[in-house]
Amino acid sequence: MKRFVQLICWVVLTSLSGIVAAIQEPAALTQQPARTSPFASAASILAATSAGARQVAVGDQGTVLLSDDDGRSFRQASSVPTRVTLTSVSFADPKHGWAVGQWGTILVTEDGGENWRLQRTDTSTDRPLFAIHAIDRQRAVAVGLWSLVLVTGDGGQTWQARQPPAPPDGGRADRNLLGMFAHGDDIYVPAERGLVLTSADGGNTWRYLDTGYRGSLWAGIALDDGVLLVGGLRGSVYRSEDRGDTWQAIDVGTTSSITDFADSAQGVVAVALDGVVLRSTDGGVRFSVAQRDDRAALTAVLTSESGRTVGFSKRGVVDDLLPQASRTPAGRP
Amino acid sequence: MPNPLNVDIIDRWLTSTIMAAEKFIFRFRRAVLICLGLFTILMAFFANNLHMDAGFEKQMPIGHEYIQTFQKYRSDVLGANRLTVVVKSRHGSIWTKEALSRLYDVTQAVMFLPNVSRLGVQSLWTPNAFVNEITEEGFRAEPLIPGTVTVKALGDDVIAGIQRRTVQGGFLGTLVAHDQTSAMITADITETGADGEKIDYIDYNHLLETQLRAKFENDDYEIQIIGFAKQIGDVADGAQGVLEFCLIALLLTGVAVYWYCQSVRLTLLPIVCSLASLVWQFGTLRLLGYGLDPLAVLVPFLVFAIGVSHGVQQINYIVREISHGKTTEQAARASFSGLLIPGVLALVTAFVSFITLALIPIPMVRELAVTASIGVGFKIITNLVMLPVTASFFNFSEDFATKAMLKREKRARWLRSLARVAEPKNAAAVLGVVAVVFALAVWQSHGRLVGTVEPGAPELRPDARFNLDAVSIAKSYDTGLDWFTVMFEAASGSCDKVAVGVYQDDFVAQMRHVEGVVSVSSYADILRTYNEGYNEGYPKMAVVPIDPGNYAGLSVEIARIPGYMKKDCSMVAAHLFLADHKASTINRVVAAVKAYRDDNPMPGVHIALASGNAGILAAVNEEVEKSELPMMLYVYAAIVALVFLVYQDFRAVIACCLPLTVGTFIGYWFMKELQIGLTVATLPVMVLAVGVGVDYAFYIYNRLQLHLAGGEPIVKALEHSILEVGMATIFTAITLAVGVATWSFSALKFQADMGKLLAFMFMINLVMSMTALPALAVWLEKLFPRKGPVRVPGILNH
Repeated sequence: MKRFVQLICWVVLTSLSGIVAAIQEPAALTQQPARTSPFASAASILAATSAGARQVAVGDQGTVLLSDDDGRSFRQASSVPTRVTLTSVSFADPKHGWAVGQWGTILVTEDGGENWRLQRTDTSTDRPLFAIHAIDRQRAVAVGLWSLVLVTGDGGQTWQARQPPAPPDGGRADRNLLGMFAHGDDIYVPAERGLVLTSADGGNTWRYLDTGYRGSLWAGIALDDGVLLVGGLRGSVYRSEDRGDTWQAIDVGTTSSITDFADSAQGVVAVALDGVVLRSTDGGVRFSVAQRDDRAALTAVLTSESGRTVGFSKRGVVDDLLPQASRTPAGRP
Repeated sequence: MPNPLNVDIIDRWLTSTIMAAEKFIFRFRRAVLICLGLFTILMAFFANNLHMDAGFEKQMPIGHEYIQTFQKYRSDVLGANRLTVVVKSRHGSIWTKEALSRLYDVTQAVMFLPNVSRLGVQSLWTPNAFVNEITEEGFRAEPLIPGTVTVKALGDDVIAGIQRRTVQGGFLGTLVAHDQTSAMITADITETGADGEKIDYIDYNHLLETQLRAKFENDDYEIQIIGFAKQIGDVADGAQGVLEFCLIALLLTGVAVYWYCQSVRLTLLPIVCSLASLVWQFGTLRLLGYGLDPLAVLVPFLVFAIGVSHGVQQINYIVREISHGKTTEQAARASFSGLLIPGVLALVTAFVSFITLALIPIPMVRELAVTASIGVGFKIITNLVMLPVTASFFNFSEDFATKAMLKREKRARWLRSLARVAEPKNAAAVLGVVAVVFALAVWQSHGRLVGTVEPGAPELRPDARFNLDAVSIAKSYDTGLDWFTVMFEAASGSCDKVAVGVYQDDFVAQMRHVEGVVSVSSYADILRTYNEGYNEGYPKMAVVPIDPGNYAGLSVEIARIPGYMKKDCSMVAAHLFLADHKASTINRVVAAVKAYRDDNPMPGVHIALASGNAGILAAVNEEVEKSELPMMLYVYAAIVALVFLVYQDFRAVIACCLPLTVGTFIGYWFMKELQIGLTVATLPVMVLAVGVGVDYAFYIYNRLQLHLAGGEPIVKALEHSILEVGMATIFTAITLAVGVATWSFSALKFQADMGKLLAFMFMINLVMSMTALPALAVWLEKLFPRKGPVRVPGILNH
């Protein structure tokens, strides 16, 4: 009889646990390897960089694209251990580089972007990383939401948080850090509220540069002669010739938000949402503006040493960035 | 061979029953005829009130997984019964004061249509179309056209603002065409109105024409309308034209019957009798509360055709008997009892074929099954009773009959060469050819399609206004006529379970590239858009947020947009917009969704199929495909059982069924070659073709049995049978085929398809029963020689 009762209890408990299982919570978030897809080059791409002669672009769904022919054709990297949206990529040399993205993800590669390893992920809080800068094989800086700053000195085996000081306009250090570029040892981070953060010691300590703009700055570039250009919301572009101490607003003639800059012998190229392409041949003092017919949301631009320009958008690789962008948008000559 | 039934008892019972029936009916023949006449008048009265009646709901398979999901969430996702109206500027863009005013007027007109939920109407002018504007101050949701803007206030600046917001909000391809020459208004139609009245789609379609098209279409603007209501309305209008085709077919049949029997009275007889049963059928339908579905409008005509074919056999019999010296009354009586068995057999087979259609749990098909089987049931009375009884009142001289027979025999001289098929050597050759054709047909018909093969509304021709509109809209918009909705089910109160959104996001990324998927609009997509929008449009934030609070906040906002989720997040939807609703497209999408579900299981989340019109089509296709084989098996089982019961001879079963099977497969091959998919419309044709095809076999085999029982050797018996009924059979088959072939000119594509298919099936079954059947019968007789004499039910012998 006792055994029978036990049996009944067991049956009831198992079926109860079955019911519980049936209405169980969705599983916790886990990193899944990226899928190999024949449509990878049409995925939303958010950032691109050069690794020697190779071009590496990253984006949605853990997509990593590689090109060894100046961006004429792209293929998917062999193995990427994440499916989150990758937002930035940077190489210390042709072989060694990092990529960062949502869920605080940091990936590392030692073979020029073919294979990647997961170095960091954090789903306990929603703090995505937006930019990475590789200083050398050992040192790198990553920045992201709410002034998240991470540095490594050991090739990424450990990442330490660094706290920027309180911003000049008061309040806590919680500005979103939206981009990153370097000139020599100086690292620059375009951020919210028209601020640019800069560090001269590999990201350990930071100070603020004020462009005078009050909107967000998304991207920037340092030209060879040290001229700084930053751009962001609604076509705002600011230019500094004195390492960021003073800034000059540049009217580029568009209200589309600027997402990336590139520099080559032919001049400076900037891309923006709504298919807008900006060009300057005088170091960013004046820009000509053109808009693509397809109004693709351009997100990144890359120029190779040969002078070839490749664009990237939410709809993937944009190989014919410039030929198509020949028209001046109506209303804004 | 051993027989569990006592043959003699059955024989005796059958014989005596038929004799008794004959005696009774012909004794009171006047009374019988008057009763039938009165009944016809009564039914005609009811039939007069029969209306066309279409329904969206009744096309859905009951109990199918997809339909259950659809029913469960019908108020939460985009209704499958959607009306799409496009205002297109014939010259230039939609961004002019005039064009936007027209759009406003049409939007208002759509809102005030009956059976339309006003809150669900969406266009540039409705408050539920808003854009999340990103400014330096933050993220602001504002209507595409602010509430303060009136038609009068549409200045260039205002219009430029609307255009900018539309482009920014991503409404190109949804509310405004990619080329910006047209704008869209969408509305959900509820089948049962606020007053509880069911919608009459035919009237509704006329309302759309008068209230929208007639009022707002002119030389400058085009009004394109698509959606089920429009489609079925156009189909119904086209179906009215079926009457003309029926009349043409009737006329053709009449001329042919006259040519055949050389007598006006004998010509009218089968036609009037068949019409009488048609009247009864319509009356009964009305009494049962059914309407005539535009998609099933051909079925009564089919039944009529079957009736004529049986009537001609009766006339054939009567004339032959008269020429043998009988009086007209005697001949009519002989025809009555002589053809009762094969006639009942044939009609019962047709009846059973139709009844099996009820196996498909789609109310519309069931209705069709009832409609058709009632019609066939009535045929037993009109053709096997009413016709010979009426004929018995006529008085044909033996002279007329002999002349008619002579004339027929002269015409039928070539049948003698056909009859040579009964010679064993020829029979073997025929069987060889048939075997090769059969193998070829089985091989060629492999992979035939289920469902619709062509884009657009399959019932209508490609150049019909509806399909032109559909193609134009599909070209200019991402959200065309066809979409497939997949629902992600989780526990209620899942609004902070970020894993659900992440899961759907991954799913959507996979589905976006499935061939045939034009675009995807989902809860996860909106999460991305909103998250990006709240972060100043920063592209790197276009992701599903994993902060539960943020996720839940966005979910609350998404719940305000109709069609994407249940408020408690127990269901979030993904709409896959498709290039078309070809069966191959739908199957590919269904397979992709199921493969994803199997390969990426997520505890606590269930991916449920399906809604959207393509989801419902998928369910219909699956049911049709699933039901086809069992239906065919039931029909064949019925034929086998009936043949065996009557002839008690396995040779009869094989000789009757095998040629039919060959015919069925050749029919499949024909369907594949002509790109006719197996649908709710063509399935009945195939099933019925078997039921009608067996008729020919019955009539020939009936005579064969008779001659065999008379002691003739098989070859001679076959020759006689072919000569006696061959002409009548060939004649009816050709008449019917020509009649249905006229449907090829119908304005409705599905009628044209059915006509072609049916004409082909009539002919192929004829060829099979005139060649394969005799050849098979000869060889069966040779391979399995009979031990005793051939038995036939006594009555056949008199």
